Amino acid sequence: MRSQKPILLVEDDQVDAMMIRRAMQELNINNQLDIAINGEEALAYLRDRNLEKPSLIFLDLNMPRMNGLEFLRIIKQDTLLRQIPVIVLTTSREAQDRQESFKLSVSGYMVKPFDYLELVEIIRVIDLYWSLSELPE
Amino acid sequence: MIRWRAELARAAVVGLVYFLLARLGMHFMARPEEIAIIWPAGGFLLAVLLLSKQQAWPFMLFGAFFANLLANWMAGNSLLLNLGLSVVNISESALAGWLLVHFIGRPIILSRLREVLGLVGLGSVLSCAVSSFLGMVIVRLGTDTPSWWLTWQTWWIADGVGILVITPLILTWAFWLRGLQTPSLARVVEGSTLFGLLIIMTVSVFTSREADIFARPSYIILPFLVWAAVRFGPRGVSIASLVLATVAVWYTSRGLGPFVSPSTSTREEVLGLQLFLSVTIFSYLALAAVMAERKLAQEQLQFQKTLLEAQSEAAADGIIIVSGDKRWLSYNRRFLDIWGIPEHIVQRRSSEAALAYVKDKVVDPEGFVAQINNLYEHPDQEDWAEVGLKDGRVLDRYTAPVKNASGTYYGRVWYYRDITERKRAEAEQAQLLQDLASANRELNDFAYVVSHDLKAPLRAIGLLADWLVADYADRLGEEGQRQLKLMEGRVKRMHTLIDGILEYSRVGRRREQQAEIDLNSLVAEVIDLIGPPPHIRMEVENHLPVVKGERTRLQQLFQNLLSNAVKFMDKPQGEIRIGCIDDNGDWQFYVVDNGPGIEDRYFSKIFQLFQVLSPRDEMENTGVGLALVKRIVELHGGRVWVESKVGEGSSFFFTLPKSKLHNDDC
Repeated sequence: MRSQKPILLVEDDQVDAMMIRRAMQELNINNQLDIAINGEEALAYLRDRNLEKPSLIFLDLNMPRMNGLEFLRIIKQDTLLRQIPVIVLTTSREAQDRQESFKLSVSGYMVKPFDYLELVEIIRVIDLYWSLSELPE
Repeated sequence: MIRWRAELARAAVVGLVYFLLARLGMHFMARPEEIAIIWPAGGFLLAVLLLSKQQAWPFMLFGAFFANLLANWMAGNSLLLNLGLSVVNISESALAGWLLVHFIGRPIILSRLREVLGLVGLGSVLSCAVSSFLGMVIVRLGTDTPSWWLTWQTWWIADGVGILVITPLILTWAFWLRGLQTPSLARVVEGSTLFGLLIIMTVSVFTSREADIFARPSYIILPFLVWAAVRFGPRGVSIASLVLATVAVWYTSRGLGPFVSPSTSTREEVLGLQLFLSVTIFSYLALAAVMAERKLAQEQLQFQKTLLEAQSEAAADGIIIVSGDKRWLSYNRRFLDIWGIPEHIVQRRSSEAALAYVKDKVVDPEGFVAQINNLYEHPDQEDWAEVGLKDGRVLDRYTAPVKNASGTYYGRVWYYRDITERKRAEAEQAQLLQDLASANRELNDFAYVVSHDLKAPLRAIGLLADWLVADYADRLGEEGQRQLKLMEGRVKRMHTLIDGILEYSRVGRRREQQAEIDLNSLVAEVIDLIGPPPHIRMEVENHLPVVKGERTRLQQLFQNLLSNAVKFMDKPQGEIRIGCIDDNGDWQFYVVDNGPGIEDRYFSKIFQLFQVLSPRDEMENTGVGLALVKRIVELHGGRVWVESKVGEGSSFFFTLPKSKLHNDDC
């Protein structure tokens, strides 16, 4: 990644979070991975002035309390937060979810594969992309 | 077919009767000049001709001819004269018969005015004029007669009267036995009284002396003839005529009765009598015919009326016809029942009154009345509407104008049908469909969510197992690693199983658009997707047809069959052949492989859900594939089965019905 800022992962499933962390490690992606287990926590994290804003957000959709789409709706209203690229990383194949996400201006929508190796490949490509592309800040 | 014996026998009988009547006619001549008053034989012959087929006429005419010859010979005329007269006499009946059959038709029973007019005009007047003219000519040639006109005239009118008296009698009573019903006592009494009085009256008239009250002729008899015509019809009149004629001729020929007086010549007397008889009988036959026509018309009318009433009462609708000025013309019971209209309103037969009574039963009284009045103002309009009643019933109403063929407007007909049941059934059905649709949706969502939520922990298990192997390989050792690998295998299997179940449950529940699918391209796609290994050859042997079905399902179908064939292949050179046979109303598809084969006893088992033949560990096999294939095939209306030889291979067959629209071949 171009930036060394942290990456925010909004994900409630522990194993899925472990999976992403492991993949990043294997790919030698050095950014710090911060995890929020639902939308509310993620918002709190983002609004905390003491913390650095992340360069990228990986967002799961199915979460308790506040799910991914609700969270997305809120941050896209915020002038500062909306700039952070959001990549949806979800098990849902539903066209509805996909369409809603893009309506809310996500930068990508990845369906979590069942195969771990495929997931690693996805993370690698994301890293590659965001190494080539500029980030907002 | 001429049956000679029958015809000759008939001719003989006719001849005999003719002979007797001819003698009778000759007997009743007015003395002393020997002027014939009536010629009954001619009337008889005409009647007989009118009742027989034209094929029989020659026989009967010959019979009468010989009878006439005989009668004349007995009267002492010369042979030549005799022959001539006989021919002429016969010709009278023959001509009259032909004319009547030709212009009036058959049967002639004098129950229509046109038949009476025909008998009189064509028979009594025309035919008799012609034949009597010829007769007169012959007589003039043969003997010395005073005046040709008088001879002609006498002959003419005597023949005419003969027809008027005798022919109707026979024609009207000929078919009497056919429709015979035992007359009631009252009728017998009436008939007897009538004819009794008629006889008495007639005899009185004809036997009275000049000074008596009854001396003024005839008119006193006429009321009895009216009675006969009105109450007893053509048959009654013909009998009355016979009575009248018999009495009149009898007495007049003896010099008695109103037509005889010292101041008149015999000729004049006979003429007077003949004219009286002709005119009277003609008039009353005409009256009887008109009465008969009227009666027939009434019967037909009654029949139509009964028919119509039956139809109206049997109808499922309540029907009412209202005239232009809003009066009830006709209604049926069901109409009254539907609206619950009481007797006193029915009797008023007023549309306004009825409307005022029923309008409060309707949910929208003002609208209802307004609509009806509007329709009355537009008489040509048809209208359909539903009327809701306050008691919950719903009526279907249709109304149209009633017009006759020439466009005269009679009124408006209203049909009311109670469709409450139907509406209720419709609503129920709509509700059921809605429930079904939503249940289906729920089930779909449920199935998806279930499969999704079941898979999530599976994935985690798989990942963790994988990581354990990767991170702690040295500490696990070979056995530990193997066990974790087995665990991963089970996870994958469960995954496939969940997918399989989801797909299986979706077949038939989650329907796609039916489309025309070209199987050639579909199968090619599937083969591509499967990507058979190099040692297996997969070939489509002939041209596959276009079928109507759901694309995804058909794809799954072929995919399952083909991937099975690949999966189980045990030979170094694998051969999988795919093709199609035309089987009359269906297409029969086959997937033939040279794999391990299947034993007979498992032929139907393998299509059951979760049935596998090899131990599940040998190859990850969930046993859903063939069950899915079976379900898809059956969804499309076909059958699936397998033929196989262990060690040599298996042939899977399935049928798909031919689409009615498509006439493709394979």
